[in-house]
Amino acid sequence: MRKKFIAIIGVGLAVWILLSGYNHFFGPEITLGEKNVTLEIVNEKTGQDRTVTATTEGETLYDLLLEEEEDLGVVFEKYDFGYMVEGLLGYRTTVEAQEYFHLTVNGEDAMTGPEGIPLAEGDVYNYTLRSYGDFSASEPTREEKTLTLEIVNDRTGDGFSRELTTQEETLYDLLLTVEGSAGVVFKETDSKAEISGLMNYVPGAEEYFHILIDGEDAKAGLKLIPLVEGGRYRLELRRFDGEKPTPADALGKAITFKVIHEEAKIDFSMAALTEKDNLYDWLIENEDDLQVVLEEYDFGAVVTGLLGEVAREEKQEYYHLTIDGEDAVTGPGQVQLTDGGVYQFELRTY
Amino acid sequence: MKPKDITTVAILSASLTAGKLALSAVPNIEIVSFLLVIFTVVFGVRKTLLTALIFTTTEMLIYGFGIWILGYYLIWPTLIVMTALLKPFLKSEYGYAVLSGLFGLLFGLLFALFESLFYGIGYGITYWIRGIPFDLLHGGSNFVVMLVLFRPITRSVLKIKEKS
Repeated sequence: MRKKFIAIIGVGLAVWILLSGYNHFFGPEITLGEKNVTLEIVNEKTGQDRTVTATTEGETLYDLLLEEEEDLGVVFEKYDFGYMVEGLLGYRTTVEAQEYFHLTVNGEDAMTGPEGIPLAEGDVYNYTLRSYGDFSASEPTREEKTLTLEIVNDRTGDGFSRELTTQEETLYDLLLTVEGSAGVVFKETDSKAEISGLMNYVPGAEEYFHILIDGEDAKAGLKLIPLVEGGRYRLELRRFDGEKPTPADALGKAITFKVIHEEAKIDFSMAALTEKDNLYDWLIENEDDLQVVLEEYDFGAVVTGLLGEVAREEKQEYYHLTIDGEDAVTGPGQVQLTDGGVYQFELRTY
Repeated sequence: MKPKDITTVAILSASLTAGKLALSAVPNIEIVSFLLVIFTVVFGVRKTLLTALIFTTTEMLIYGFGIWILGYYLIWPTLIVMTALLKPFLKSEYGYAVLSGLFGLLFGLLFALFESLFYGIGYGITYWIRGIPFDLLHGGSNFVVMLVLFRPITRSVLKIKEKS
């Protein structure tokens, strides 16, 4: 028994010595005292970016994040290897969306979690929301690049080919800059964006806008296509059956429907092709998909709920309607749909 | 395989799963490698390999599929085979404690080699170095557990084997 006891003590001592050696050579170099550091949060999905300059006596980034936990809405998740940040500024990453907050220190990728990063005077710590695919995909570059953007619609005969010089990083960012002139309408889901309309044309049920990069089929969605110097980016209307779209009159009116609800972080936009004459009929037609809630009054129907968010009377909320950017003066029952019209409901308070 | 053997393997797998769950709240202390060594000594390689296979599959059902599960399908059998090969040379609990301790110490390295196949050598090296503190504690705890518990547990398991 004594022999075992000595063996246990000996192993314990050896482990302690080796751990100390590890911490000496590989452990973070802690700086004591007050430090001025910068913490940046970048979230392109919500547009909520924040830069915080902090004076702290904390030793590691984890200490700093604890200090700022409430202000920055930091959400930690504990793993065997330590704490990781999985939520910032009210946004929580999910495995389903395949995203994470990527950490860099002074522009260099961090090799460890926040507990292993010592704070140093003047250092910049950056958390940027990324998709798992970003890990291995070519890094979009921020320098200026000249490229070609083409939009081809053989059905309407409309086209668009322009050489652009841009600092944007992805095809999605670039399309945002030409959203107005190219009539781009996106359909956004949690993790990706798709094109649901281009140059006032909404693809039919058997059509879609196909993306080609330098003549090759794109392998990723808009938000994951990096822009490179000299690239040729083509958005071409195609049919799912592989046949070429033939010129024909588009059926119905092409409209754009938008919903904005700042508190619920909804910025929804969809393009639609409809034969309905007025907005009320169209809302009824899409009642289930858009979770439309209508209240009938003597003067007509009023929209009180969209996409699961209801206007709360006690908070004096209402859905404000604009048509092509102008305030509507009537309810949806009296709003006539026009080809190319933009109909937007935005939650406001009185 | 006889029904008795099937039952034995099932009970051994269940005891591994229960043992792991019981100690899951305690970081870096695990009983799986200890029990696999005991089972190899008492029941032999074949039954213990089957036990490890069932145990790892149960882990997958509990925790979900990940690359780490594939690693476990390789690492536990490695321990079992090493135990069986060294058994003729290990005469006391000290030898098994050293074996178990070394296994714990090299656990991270074995996993890093496996992860390198998927994510590259650079990732594997980083993975291993970052895990060294855990490996040191793992090795130390394995050594202590084996040194203290090898004899009494082996005796009890042998008694159960003889009675059944």
